[in-house]
Amino acid sequence: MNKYSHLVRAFAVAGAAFLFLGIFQAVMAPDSFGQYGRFRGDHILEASSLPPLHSGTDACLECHEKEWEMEDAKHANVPCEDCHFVPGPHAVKGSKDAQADESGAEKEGLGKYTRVEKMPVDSSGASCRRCHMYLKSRPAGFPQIKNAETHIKDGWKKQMGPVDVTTSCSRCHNSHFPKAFTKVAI
Amino acid sequence: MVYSEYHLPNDLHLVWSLMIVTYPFLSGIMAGAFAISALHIAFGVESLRPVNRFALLVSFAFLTCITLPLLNHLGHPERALNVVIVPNHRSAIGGFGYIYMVFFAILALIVWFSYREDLIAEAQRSTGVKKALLNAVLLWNTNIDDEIREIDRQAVFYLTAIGIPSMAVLSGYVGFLFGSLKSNPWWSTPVMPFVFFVSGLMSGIAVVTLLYLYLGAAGYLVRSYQCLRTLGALLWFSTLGYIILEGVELLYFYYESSDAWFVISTLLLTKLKISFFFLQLGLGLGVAFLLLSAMFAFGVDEPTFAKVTAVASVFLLFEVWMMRWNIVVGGQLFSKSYVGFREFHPLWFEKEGIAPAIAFTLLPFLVLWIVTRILSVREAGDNKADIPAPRKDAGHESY
Amino acid sequence: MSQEPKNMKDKKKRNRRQFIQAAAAGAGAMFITLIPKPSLGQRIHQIEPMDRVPDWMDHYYAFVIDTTKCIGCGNCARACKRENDVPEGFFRNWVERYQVTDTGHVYIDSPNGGADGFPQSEVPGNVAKGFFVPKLCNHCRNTPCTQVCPVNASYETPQGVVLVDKKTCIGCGYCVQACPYSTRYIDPRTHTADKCTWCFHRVTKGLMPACVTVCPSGARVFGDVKKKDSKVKEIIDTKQVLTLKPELNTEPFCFYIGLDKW
Repeated sequence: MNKYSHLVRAFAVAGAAFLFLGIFQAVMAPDSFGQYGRFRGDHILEASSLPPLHSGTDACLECHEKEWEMEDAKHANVPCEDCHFVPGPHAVKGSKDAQADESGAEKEGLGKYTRVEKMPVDSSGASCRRCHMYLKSRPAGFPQIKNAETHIKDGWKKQMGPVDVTTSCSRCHNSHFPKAFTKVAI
Repeated sequence: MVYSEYHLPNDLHLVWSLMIVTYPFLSGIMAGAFAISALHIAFGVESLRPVNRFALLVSFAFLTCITLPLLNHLGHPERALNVVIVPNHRSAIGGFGYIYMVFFAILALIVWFSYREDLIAEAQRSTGVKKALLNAVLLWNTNIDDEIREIDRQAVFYLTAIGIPSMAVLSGYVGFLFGSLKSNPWWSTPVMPFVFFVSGLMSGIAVVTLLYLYLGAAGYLVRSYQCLRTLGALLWFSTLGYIILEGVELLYFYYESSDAWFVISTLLLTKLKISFFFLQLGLGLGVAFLLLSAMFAFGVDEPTFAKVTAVASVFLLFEVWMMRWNIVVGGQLFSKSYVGFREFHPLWFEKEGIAPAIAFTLLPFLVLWIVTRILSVREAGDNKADIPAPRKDAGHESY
Repeated sequence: MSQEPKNMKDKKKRNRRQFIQAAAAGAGAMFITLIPKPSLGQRIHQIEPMDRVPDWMDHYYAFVIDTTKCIGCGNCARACKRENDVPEGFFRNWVERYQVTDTGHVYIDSPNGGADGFPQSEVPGNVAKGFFVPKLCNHCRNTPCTQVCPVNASYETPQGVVLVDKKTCIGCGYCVQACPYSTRYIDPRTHTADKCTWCFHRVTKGLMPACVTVCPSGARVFGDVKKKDSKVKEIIDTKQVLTLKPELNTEPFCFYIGLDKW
């Protein structure tokens, strides 16, 4: 062994460690890395593969078209899911959907049905106030209710009886056709 | 416009907490200790000879432990190797894996070359398993003569020469990490890498000084007034450098008075009033700098010098830790809306709590103790028998 | 095939033929509609996870938010939480309310990110102007978050969407610090970074992001700027739009109409 041999051995060990690091990196890197760019290519497929939860208004309209048949449908632009949300495929009991399953079991290819006895909706008026309660920050032209009491025209007041902020709007308004008033309960 | 308090919703959760305060604290000590060794080896500062190898050991012990607080902080420490498997070279943390490994290799080699002769002697004296292990560490090469000693010295010299920039990068990249984030005005300044580097030097020199004073008094290291004076002077210079950098940073923030000045000034005057001005600058930096300055200006005798330097070192270590806290946590006490502020109080026993932080801070000292069972703290050729025992009748004169 | 009918008899024959053809076609159509087929809703949920629209890579998406139309109902924040299973206290999508009094005092709030709507506010003074600003990940072109991710877990797809690979992410939190808009968070359940993905799993199937789907006022517009007739492209090209914190040069691809000083 010459006088430099320990030097050579020491640096060889260090060099071997870095070489091992390089090999380790090459071996362990995921196969799809770099496929589409500097990222694990499989992930872009995974990310686009999650199931969607919201169906959108068009999907609801296929069965519920009569809800929008009136000319003056002020709420036509309001997505159904704002007030009635059911995640995933659903069937209302007794609906024309032939595959509605009473037992609520899993339907092939569709996932578990959410059994809905009645379309879920909050009739207390909270859904309505969510958008229509008067807030200074809302756009000027947007219909807002400043005061529940003054909102009601004088002619109706006697029939309506006492009204406050917790009164349900659907006492007078049809939720889908808000300008068409329902019969006022006496 | 006067804005009410508003905190962006996601900002209510603090992401970088005590572990990210502990990590730069430890890496700074590692850098400062290496700097002491480097001054002796590469720049020929002879007065630092007594602490040369000991500083190397301190640096090495801290280097082995600095990744642990980071691993504890990660959401998925088991995937930590992704940093070297699929690294992003544009990312500062992405570079950390390589920077750390390079410096680890350099420092390991320096320690190996520095202690070869001691290990060879130890291997010759041992038998059995211990001998086999020592031979393996020596890579089965036990050659030693004057020529080889010279080769070893040169190897250490050149390794230290490339080790200095490597150490600077390893301790300064944390500052770069913070300083390059335009999203956070308290962090975003080009001065940040230098602030971290110089404060790291300060803390490393302080730790080595304190340990040197203790080991010197206990008789394990050669007591040298010249060495102590050099350490004290280095401490003073690095403190001065830090004051200048920090002062310049604050002056620029104040003078430029740019869009973020409102949030920075409010942060400093409300949330960080005590921890920044009183604790970090006043107590930590101010007291230490005044003590050191007075000591050098007025000239004191040896025992007083030792005591003052020890006190100053403790204050400076405290200051450096507070500085890490004020930067890392302070930068998250305000929201990116620039008009919201919050408090932060770490718990004792959570994942990144006070107890783990203390444990990670004490761990390098434990590693150092273990390493010194195997490797001598003294300079090559200095035997314990050569060190004069402390004079029992000296009393307060001898430290 | 038709020569002009010469007389009334031929005319009647033609009319009869046409009627029979029409009736046959109509009956055929009726028969077809009687065949049970899944509704659009079912078909949406029946979409196999891998069912992307063909040429799903060949799009370049952009988002426009019109704050002059936003009514602050918070349906977007609520829908996003449902669609993407966002944990409590963290937000991929939120709405802020701004109220500016005539003395120049600005009050900003975002109760639970706006997911439950906004309550009546009690700000002192007379509110001269107010508006809502919905916020989400801006999917910047010069992203600070993908630049700093150490493991390339945060990246930009060819469609311009910035995603987080949760299997690679180590949870260091660097991207959360780097985002100037605070749109990122560390999910406490998966311990990885997370953020708005523009509902990548929906847009690649030809759907709109959940927040756009449920917006009642048309404040949110999403689309492909590569398509010549897209609404988003029209707005960006013709209207005066702004982005958040433009001075930081992150080049967000989420454009705002009606931003005010912020």
